[in-house]
Amino acid sequence: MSTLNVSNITDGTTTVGTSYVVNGSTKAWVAANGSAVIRNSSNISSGVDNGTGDFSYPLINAYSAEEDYVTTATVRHSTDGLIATRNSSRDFATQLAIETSNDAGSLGDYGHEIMSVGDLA
Amino acid sequence: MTQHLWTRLLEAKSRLKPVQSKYRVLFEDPTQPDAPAAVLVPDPNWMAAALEGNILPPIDTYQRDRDVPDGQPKEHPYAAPIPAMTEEEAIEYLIMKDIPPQVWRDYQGNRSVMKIVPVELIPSDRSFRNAWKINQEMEMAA
Repeated sequence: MSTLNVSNITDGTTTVGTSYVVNGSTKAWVAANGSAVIRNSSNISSGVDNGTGDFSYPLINAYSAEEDYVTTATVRHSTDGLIATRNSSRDFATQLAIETSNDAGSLGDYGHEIMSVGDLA
Repeated sequence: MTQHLWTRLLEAKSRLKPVQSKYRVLFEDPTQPDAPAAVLVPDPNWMAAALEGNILPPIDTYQRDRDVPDGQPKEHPYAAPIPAMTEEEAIEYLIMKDIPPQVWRDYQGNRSVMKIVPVELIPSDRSFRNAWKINQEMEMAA
């Protein structure tokens, strides 16, 4: 089996680093507990615990615009049926933000995971 | 030629061991007096990059980018990286990057609206989380 060892790939016009291929193209992700203490992440500078079930994660490398990325999140907890939703009042091109709640809609402090893809600035 | 910030971050994450900070930043936004105090927790991969140096952009590039409209070119991904910081310098950088300026720069009131505290001073009991305020008299955090 042969191995290509290159730093960049180009189509003749656009060049990208092979790190995009090797490491995938998810531009930001974070796994944190119910106090915004981060277990692991990529492209996140901090976790902010804004209150019960209210968390935001500023990006190191921002997205180009608020319309240029999509985000999904899940709650990681021993109880099934818990929900993580985008917090539109805090979610911008410069930070991810979610709220975590139970199936009745009451905010609660649950561990969570967020993944985001899009066009970086 | 300076590598794009995101490329530098990927390379750093593959090489550096994460560093959990011993500090937290407790802050209240004066424009939202009814909101509880927020707690900022440094990201361990970010802290590793800050302590290593030659990965993160200058803080002033983020500050200038705040005024750049969505969709317009931003400065921070393309700026030359800065040297290593101490953990204390990294926390100051993070305050200026991730906390609104009305907290750390513009506030003129008498209340203490921001404190850098050791992890141990953040209450572990979250029963009344939405009532947390910065303690104005003692060294307790909230």
